[in-house]
Amino acid sequence: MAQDELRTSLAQAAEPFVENLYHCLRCNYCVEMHWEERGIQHVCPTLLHHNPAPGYSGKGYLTTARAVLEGEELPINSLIERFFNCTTCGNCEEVCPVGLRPAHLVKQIRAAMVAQGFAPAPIAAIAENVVERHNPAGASIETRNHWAAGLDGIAAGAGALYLPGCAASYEAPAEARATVSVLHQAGVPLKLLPPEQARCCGAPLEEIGFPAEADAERRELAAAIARSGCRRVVASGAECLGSLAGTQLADGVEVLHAFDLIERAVAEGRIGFEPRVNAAAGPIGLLDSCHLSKKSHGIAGAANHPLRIRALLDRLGCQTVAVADQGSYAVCCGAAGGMPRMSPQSAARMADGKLRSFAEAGAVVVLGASPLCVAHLRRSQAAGFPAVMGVFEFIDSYFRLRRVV
Amino acid sequence: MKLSQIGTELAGQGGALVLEDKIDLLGYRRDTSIAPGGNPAAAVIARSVEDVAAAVATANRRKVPLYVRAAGSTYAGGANPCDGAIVLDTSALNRILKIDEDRGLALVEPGVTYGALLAELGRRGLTLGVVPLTGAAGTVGGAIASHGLGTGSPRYQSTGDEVAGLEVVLPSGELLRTGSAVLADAGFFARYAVGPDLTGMFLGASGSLGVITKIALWVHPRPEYQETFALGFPDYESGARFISALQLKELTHNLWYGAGYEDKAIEARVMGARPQFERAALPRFCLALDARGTSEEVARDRARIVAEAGRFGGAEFALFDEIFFAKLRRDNTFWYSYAGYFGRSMCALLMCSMANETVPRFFRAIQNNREAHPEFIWAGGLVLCRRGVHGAVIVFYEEREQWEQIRMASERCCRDLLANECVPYKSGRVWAPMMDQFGRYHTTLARLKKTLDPNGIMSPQILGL
Repeated sequence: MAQDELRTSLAQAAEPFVENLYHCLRCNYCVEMHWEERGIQHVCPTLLHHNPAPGYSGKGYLTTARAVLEGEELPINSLIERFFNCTTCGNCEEVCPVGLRPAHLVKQIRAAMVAQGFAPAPIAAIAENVVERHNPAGASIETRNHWAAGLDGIAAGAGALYLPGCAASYEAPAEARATVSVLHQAGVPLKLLPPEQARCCGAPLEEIGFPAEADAERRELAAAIARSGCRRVVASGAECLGSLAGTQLADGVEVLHAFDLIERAVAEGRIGFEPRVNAAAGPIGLLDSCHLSKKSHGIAGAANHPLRIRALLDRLGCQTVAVADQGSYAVCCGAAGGMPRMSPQSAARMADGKLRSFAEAGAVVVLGASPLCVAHLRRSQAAGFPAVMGVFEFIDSYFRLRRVV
Repeated sequence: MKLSQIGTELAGQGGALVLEDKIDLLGYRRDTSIAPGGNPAAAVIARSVEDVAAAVATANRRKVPLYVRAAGSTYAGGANPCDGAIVLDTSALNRILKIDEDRGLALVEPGVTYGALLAELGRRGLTLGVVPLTGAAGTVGGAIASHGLGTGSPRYQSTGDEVAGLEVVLPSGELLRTGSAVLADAGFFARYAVGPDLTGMFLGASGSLGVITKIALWVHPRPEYQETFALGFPDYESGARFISALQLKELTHNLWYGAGYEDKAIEARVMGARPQFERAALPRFCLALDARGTSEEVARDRARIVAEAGRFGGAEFALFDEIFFAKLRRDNTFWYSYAGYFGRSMCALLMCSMANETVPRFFRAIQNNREAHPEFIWAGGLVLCRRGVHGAVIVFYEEREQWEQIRMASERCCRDLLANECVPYKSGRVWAPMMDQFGRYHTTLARLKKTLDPNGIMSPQILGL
């Protein structure tokens, strides 16, 4: 009975995507492709590192959802396993020559599964963590701002509110500290939300099929932002940036990635960089985090921060390496979409594949602008792999900022 | 998931991945074509020649049909299985085994995509003679098993003409090497050796006579310079006569792509892009050309081609060049692909070859079908080859509402094309119902298949076999 209701619910979730389901060419672009001129080497991280079966991939999800819509009886456990083993990176959408949106479909199907009580246990646990403790890892609320202890640059009266996001607050605190430090040197004081008021931006919940809970978190976060009185929100998390950019904040509140402030200050000639003595980074690999570089992730993706960070690194005289998959077509590192919880070994293989390709290209350090990706890659570090750093960690370690009066 | 008895048998013989979950099998039902597909019982993702041989042996032992497939991105239905079949997926056989610059060839496995192979060759200043229009995700095995053509066809004709030799697992499970590689130590370097050309038997056969496991392809220097231009003609007849003159004078030698379009397509494109263009001044036939070589060669050939066109009432039509190539060459990629080129996605592509003088009848046949089935959007195009032309009838349809109708209309169109001396090119399942029209060719092919595949396990119904 429950399974019949699930089938009905899944068909209803697929219905809004009917144009997608009946206009897939089966060209296989989202399955396996190499297109040198576009910087595409592979496409789907799940096919590469989880399972090569055609039930996965953009094409696989579209084909399956069409069968669901047409009333075919498909094994429920397999359906759940397949739809929850997508990173929702959106690379399938990026490469699709006719603009289909399989990653968006996956999120809708997940939501229908969750609503019918079919969320896999690791996925349900993420949601529970966010609802109860406002972060996906389930870390304690009280320790949320521990990363900022003793740090200069935090001022209660600052006009800019810094939202490091859950990943930087708990899993990549060095990046949060470096961000405050660098912005402090640039003359931008920041304010933090009290831990009890801080909330998840909702993006992780959205990705794993809990849109209502995501919305509730986002609304509470928007209220906390309004209470802060700040007119500018500075985010570190790639997902936070995208999520807040789509949230109704108080009129005139500007949402930025921390890098935007540095980029603006450089463009306006307000800051300069001096290399720290005896500190020279070797060749750098730059991670194109999906949420910051793929158009399917909305405003944040279209802004393509990695591309702009690369330009700054060039300007600073840093040597960057090229890998076969880069730019908006880079293959996901496995950090998002619930993958590290749902299938930790596959997520680790995704990270391993990423770091291996940077190592083969000669990188000694890999920089990421998304703390979620940085934390995930660090967990997968093996001997011989490049070091992984947040972009601000790198800037703070190797450069001193000079304010131009 | 627990495997069935046959699944266990398939899995137990090597490193192949056996799939029996219904969700995974959905993707193996059909390719890009409008040909009907079936529900396979299992799929095997082969990772070695031994896996292929084992799958063929199992299918033979159990007398279960076996269909070969890689990306499944062709428009002919050659990979579409029948109910209860095993699908042998060769997409994981994707290694570039050797690029032999001394012999001027690349030895690859069938699952290698054109994108990957061209990238590797490009780093050495090399390229392939023919790159099919399926694009970067299309595989070499799939293209040669279904007669691909596209970029390079004016110079080299078809993907099959660029094959130096093959390794094939026969329906018996035995391994055959063709061309000079019949002498194992000599390896691949010549297509024609010892006696009759057995390579050709497997080209365009969609796996019905054996499973291709290695392909030797000729490689060529990548031309350094490229120019595109378009020619307009007052009618199809003069355009067709011009093509014959072009080919006979071997002015196609430095042409890497050529596409011919009928009046309706010209009108739609030009008036869509430039509504103020004087409709009466539109040519009825356009040929868009891509010339490559040294800048001197291209300039010389372009001048000669334009002069030759003038003899047939043709002239350069710069606007069509701009409109046609702007979208097709989005990334300044070396090859052309139709994926995403059309404004609509779902279409039936009916492919045929024809002598140049047949071109006017080909376009008239399309017009007749357009009038008979106004519920679809019809378009027709030509791909210029070294000799003759390749025709594509493109019929846009809505898959949710028009699935049965498009198949009936396509079959009618195929019969019309046959009646107008257009010869099936990519046959697969799309042209299978008409194979009995080819008399002794078809019976000989059937006899050959019976000899090689006595149990009839290899791709039954494909090519009408």
